[in-house]
Amino acid sequence: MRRYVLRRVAAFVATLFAVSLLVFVVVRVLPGDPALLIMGTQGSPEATARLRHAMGLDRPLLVQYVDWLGRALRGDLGVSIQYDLPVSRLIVSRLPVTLPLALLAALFMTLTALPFGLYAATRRGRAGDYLTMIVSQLGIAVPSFWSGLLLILLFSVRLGWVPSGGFEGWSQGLGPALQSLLLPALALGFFQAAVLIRATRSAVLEVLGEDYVRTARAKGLSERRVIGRHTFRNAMIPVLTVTGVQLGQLIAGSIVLESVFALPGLGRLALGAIAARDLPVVQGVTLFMASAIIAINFVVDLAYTFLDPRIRYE
Amino acid sequence: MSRLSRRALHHATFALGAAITTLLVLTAAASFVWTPTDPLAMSIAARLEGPSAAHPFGTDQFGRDILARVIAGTHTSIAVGVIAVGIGAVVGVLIGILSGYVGGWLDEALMRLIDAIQGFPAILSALLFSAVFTPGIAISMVAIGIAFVPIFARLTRGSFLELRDREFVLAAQALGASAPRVVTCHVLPNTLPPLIIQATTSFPVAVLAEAALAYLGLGTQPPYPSWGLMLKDAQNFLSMSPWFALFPGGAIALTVLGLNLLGDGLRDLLDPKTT
Amino acid sequence: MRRPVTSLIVLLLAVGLAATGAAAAPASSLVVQTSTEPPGLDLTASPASAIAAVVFYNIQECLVKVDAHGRLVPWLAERWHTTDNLNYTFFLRRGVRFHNGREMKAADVKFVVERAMNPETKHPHPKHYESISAIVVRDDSTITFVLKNVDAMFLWNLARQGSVIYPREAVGTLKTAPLGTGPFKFAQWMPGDRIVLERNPDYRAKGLPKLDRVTFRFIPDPNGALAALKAGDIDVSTFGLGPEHVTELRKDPRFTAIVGDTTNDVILAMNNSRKPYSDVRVRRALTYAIDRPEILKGAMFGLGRLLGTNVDPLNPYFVDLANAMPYDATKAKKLLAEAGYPNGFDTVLRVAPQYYYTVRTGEIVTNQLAKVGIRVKLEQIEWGQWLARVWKEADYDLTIIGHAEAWDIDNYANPKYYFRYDSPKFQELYRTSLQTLDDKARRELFVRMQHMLVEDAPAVWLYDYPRLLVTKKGVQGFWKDLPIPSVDLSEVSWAK
Repeated sequence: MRRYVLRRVAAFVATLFAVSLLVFVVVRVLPGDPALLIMGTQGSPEATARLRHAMGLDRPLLVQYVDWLGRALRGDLGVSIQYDLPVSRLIVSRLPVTLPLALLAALFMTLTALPFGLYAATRRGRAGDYLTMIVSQLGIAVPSFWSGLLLILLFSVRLGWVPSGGFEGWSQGLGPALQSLLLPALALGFFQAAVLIRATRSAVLEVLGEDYVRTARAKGLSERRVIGRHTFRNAMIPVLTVTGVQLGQLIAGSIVLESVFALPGLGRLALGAIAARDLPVVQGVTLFMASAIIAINFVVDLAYTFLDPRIRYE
Repeated sequence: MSRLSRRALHHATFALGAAITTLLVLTAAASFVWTPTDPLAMSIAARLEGPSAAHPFGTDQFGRDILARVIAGTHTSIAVGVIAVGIGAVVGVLIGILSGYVGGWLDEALMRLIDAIQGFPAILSALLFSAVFTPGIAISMVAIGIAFVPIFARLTRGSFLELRDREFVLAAQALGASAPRVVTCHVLPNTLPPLIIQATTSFPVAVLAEAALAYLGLGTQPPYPSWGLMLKDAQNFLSMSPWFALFPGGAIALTVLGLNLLGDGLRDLLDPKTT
Repeated sequence: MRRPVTSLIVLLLAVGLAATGAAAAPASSLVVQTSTEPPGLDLTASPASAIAAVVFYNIQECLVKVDAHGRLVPWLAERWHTTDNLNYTFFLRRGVRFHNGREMKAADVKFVVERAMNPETKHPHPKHYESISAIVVRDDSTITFVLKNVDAMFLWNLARQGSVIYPREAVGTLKTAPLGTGPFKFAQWMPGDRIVLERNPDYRAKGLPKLDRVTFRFIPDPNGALAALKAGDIDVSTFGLGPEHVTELRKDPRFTAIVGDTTNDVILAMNNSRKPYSDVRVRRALTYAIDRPEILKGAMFGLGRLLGTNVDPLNPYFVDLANAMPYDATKAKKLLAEAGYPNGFDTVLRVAPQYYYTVRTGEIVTNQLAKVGIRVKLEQIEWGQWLARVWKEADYDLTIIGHAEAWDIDNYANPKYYFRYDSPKFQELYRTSLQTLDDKARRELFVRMQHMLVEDAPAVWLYDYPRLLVTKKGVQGFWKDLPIPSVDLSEVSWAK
């Protein structure tokens, strides 16, 4: 067991290295010239060249990579050209938006998917099953920039219950902060629940077909007892893994929604940095997001192993 | 008619899904040669009109016929889906086979690469690529395709590892069949069903990813129609023409629904447990 | 809150503060939306207009100011005089304080301008100060600029955003927390979300500013901005709403829409060094093939003004030549045939979707040119690539972009500029205009330059991008036109 865990950790570290290499290679291949971008159409060529040198963009690539990686491992991801702040500090400052958003969305997703998935499984093959699946498909068929806007128009403009965008910060209290995150979390979690509904449904169906469930039924236990006590917990294992994977997708999905809701999160940071050719930020944020997604997958992987004693990878 | 085909036609989910998919493919094919009107013809005076006899779906912000554009957009969406899934499947399957067959350090290395790629969701990759190359439909398809590689690779590899020790494979090897032959004639055909089902699930994901990229300003180039681009434009004119968004949105919803139904149907039909 | 006692104390304090607050006059604040977050707040490091929107005229000011009507007026300098047009002596206002309390002196002005001229400091426009040969401080409030040659743009250049006066000890914080002499002080920047400015209580003009607090919020999505306005989350939208939104809001009694002129000329640029655009007949053919009124209606819902050259309506020497070469598809086809393209040709039009209006305009232009046989492929490229490929390397056939600087007719006198328009006659005219101070003579030159541009047609000038400002009803004091990129808030207030 311990050897297995160690091997997984080694694999995780190797993957992170692969990610860093991918990020660096792709980002450095960008033909846009960050010095030119800062200067814009009105800067002189000499001023631009000077800025390029000051930013260290004229050194050989391998040197730049090793230098960057070494510093990244120490937590130094460079300094943002736009904000003149350390990239790591920028990333950390955006986490209080993106992380709670993703978690809240995951919560909504789970709260929606579990009951609906369970319901669909118990009504398998009948109208309830089809209806659930079709409605959930319609949910993901609405692109998030539309579901976001529609939610704003209804709950913010028409009803005035929540702000239409922006983020005051957690210092103003739990209430206002959650209000700002409510609609985007709904757009992310509620509308996109289809995948998790389907996973819940299959997991429950799978378990319902197991011998011990048949035994429980044969023993004369009520349907409620069968599902509640015997089915649910075991069905949760595959559902947990899907949720874990979806969390990574949610972090990515927040990129679009942070634009719609003008939230100062990681997604907005990444978009702005790519447009402004703020290389240190692009590298830092991409590395962070990819690593976070992989870390989540890793944790879920391990959790799955511990939870389900039947699974062991060779 | 084989038992499978007969069952297929009677299976409601599959039938409906297949019908919708066929409709989409036929519309896409037909749109190459015919559309009710020219999807590019502008008429500023007739902009943002609701449905009428001349324009059954109304007109867009430049007075172009929305029905024609939705039909023409079909082949953009089909192309995105096919190519993105194609890239993901071809590259993924190759990696999966290599990994599963050769094993050892190559397997480890490839799996680490796959893990790394999984850290880059389609939108993130597309953003990066679009900054490197000219943003457009081609780049979006490649970015989305790359995001599909891990799932196809794992599926293939998993299938491969499972089948590798099965009797019929061992038998073939004992009879002296070469490695490529074993792969193509014995293993691959059995791997195909889950791959096809995965393709039907990934297809709508690609179409939706293209819509998200259109919103971010990447993706299809105007003036060629794409549902994602139309949806994005429609947002600006919501108060002037609420109809505008309905039709491309409906088209996307239909595609998502149709392909997922097809996948569900196939899954039920091909699942050995229910056969 | 760790213990209930602490919470109780805080609660009592809050109630107490609220009570005292109620007795005093309510603070007057404004929430202003703009679409782009500035890349830093240093006007001397980057020419971005997003920085000017927050800082220029609000936090930092210049010796001379361009007022709401485009006129040069004394500002930090009370007056100036010159006898030979080579030595300009400025008399600075006394008692002007920087936000850190220190009084502004002539030495500060000298420091600022010399720093701008110094190639080490990476100022974006050192050429604005090229004609200065020496700066002499006479006393704390008198300073003389000695010029190498007569420079008609000298005063204007001192009024630009790159010429703001700041205290020398604050150079290090120009980017993150700039200090200046303006009516507002920098208070807070929450990256990605907002910048807050607060009233400068020591501002030299009594009664100004009228607002106590201004919050700039960055909302990039125009529909998000519209929703925020309608939901009451913002009071003003300065930039980002599209003409369709403004058209809708104009009919809404809750809001006031201001549609004015700017210095942003939207043009269809042609690569004069590349065939077929090297042939003036082809360029004129394109000009005749473009139906400008239709573009304005289609892309901008009729908001904005048609242009005939690269001089905007706010320029004192503006000549309205929008109808000099009106839409005429037949003439266009004839010219193309004459130039050797009876069946048209294929070409690529590059636009950057960062500026939505260039994409919309591009779609219509593509449609119009197709009618005369020019088959255009519209290509969207990302802004960074546009700067690198189109602007820097002139690797393009056609492109559409807005040129936002005032007096940017000088780009046509630069043969290396991405237009690659090389007309010695035009360059001569422009050079002379720089040295001509007599208003009448200068106007004469500018009129001739504009006519020459129409003749040579190095680009197709489409329209002046309008100022689209929408405020809640009751907000007053915003400029109608923007003769210089800024969001001057000093006189903005809520009507009683």
